[in-house]
Amino acid sequence: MKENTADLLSTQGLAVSMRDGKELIPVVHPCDISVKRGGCTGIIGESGCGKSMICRALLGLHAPEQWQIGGQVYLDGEQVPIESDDAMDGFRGRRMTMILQEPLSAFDSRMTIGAHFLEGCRRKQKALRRQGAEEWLKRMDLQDPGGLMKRYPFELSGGMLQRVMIALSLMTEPELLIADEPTTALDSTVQRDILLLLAELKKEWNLSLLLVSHDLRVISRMADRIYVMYAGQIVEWGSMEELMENPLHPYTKGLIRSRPSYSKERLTAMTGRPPRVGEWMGAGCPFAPRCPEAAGECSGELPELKQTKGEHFVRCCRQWDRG
Amino acid sequence: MIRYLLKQMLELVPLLFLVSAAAFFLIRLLPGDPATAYLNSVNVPVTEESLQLVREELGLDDSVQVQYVKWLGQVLQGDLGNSYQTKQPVIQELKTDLKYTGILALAALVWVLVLSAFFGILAAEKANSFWDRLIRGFTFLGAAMPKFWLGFLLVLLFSLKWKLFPVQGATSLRCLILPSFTLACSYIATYTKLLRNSILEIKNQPYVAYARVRGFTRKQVIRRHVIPNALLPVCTALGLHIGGILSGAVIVENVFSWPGLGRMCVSAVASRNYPMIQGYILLMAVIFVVTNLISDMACAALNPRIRLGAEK
Repeated sequence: MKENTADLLSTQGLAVSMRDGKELIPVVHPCDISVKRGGCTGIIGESGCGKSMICRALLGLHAPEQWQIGGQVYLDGEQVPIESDDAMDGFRGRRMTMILQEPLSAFDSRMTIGAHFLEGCRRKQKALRRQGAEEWLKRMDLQDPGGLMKRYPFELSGGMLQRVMIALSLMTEPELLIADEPTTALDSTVQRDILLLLAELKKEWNLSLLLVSHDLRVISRMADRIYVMYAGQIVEWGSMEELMENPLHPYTKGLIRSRPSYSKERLTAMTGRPPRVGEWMGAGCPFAPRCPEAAGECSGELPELKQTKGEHFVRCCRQWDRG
Repeated sequence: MIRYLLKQMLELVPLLFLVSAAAFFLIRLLPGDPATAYLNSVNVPVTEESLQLVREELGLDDSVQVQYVKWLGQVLQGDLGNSYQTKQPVIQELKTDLKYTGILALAALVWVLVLSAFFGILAAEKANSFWDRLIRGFTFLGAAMPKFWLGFLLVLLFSLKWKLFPVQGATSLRCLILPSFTLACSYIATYTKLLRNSILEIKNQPYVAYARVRGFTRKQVIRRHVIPNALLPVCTALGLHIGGILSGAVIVENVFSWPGLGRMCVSAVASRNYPMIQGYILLMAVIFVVTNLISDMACAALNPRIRLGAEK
């Protein structure tokens, strides 16, 4: 993909492979992902398709002894040194940060909420930081921020902790916030509140968001650009409207069909399961065994990701001609 | 916290009662007669009269049950009886011996804490490297070597061949080094392994990744999150092991002729010195319970999950 000034984040051939002895097992195949400035990009796919791997790779969190990361990442035109743990310290928690999916496990249970906010703070700045933290907590619609600061993570509910985590992450004033399944561990009413809060904050701070989820409802509510991942590959991507109205890849269609809604009488579920890491060896389309539209040509070669029209790309040899 | 402590103290009472009974009756099942052993040790010919005399003097002519009740009555008043051999109060004898064993155990603890912290952190930081493998080999060896054998090997090498440390005795600080290291060795192995695995496990916790993501460097995260959390299981294990270190001193003290509780206990068993054995067992029971209690409290202090759970 060409350098695009409208994009805050873009990757070129970002790939993640797991080291197994001397062998390399591809987990995420080279992919180009971009997030618009002030926009929200969604990545969707079943568990184990490599979504979280991309998030971790973007922040340089992979231990080099176990993982090999390939490709380039650009943030605001500047190359992000994802392969160097030390050089990433200039980006991580400064220009880009993340919120995790299990709020409780993201906090150190020995430390109060306040201690998390004050971590690494010089003594002289503590009062100021505390004040700032309490303002952030208030901004997250949390009652009694002062009292909250004295509580331990395990004394709070999942929804409260997720709000605290958002506050903690946004306090670093990032340009890009990566949200890895931010609502998965929460019940559905709390999910909605958290998404509304994220949408509000994004607007207010002109924040760019990379939202990862296996839940199409979550993605379609927030994102302006959607990437659909299957077995470590992007199988289709495009603008939200285009993709939702005119899905081309059979997998995307399946995802949209299996989305629960009140108007539908029956929920259709996709059969089968995605291949495990290392299971699919690269011959043909990885989705072919589960695909309702599969034909002989699908087991031949791995289809390329080709543009159909405008901002809409699909990796399916049977869909290119239609568009 | 205070209520928790009191509750633990109350639980101590029936436990000590059971231990006292077990100690008292079990040692009387041992073959051998204390009166005969006593007469032998003071070089008085064993005759019917002399035996009768000694039995009366030592209070062994009553039935076992009566002896127990009498002894328990004494114990409750803080008197553990007198040693058959030296005629000194058992408490006094235990006190001097406990001091020596305490010093030995403390020195062993220092070895354990310093060396296992160093090796554990090193092995975890360089996981699966040459150093890690080397340390793992040594932990295996250290855990598998019997204390008496290791003790003799150390004496052979450091005392007899290189003449760096005295063979035995307890007269100077240099005398302390070999016995305390012998006592510590298997624990160093255990704790090195425990700490290494604990650190590697904590490193994969989401809160470690989340701290990195908030901009803290690798070193900061290891210092503030990984090591403090990795120490929690170490703290729990230490509580269980301190009693073991003290009682494990029995073998080491005999190898190095260290004048502690363990050596006293062995000679007391040999001479059927009942009051001393009973006193030793009671003392050990108290030490086990108290060290457990202290470690429980230390764990609660380190881990708010336990602290807040205990208060409810």
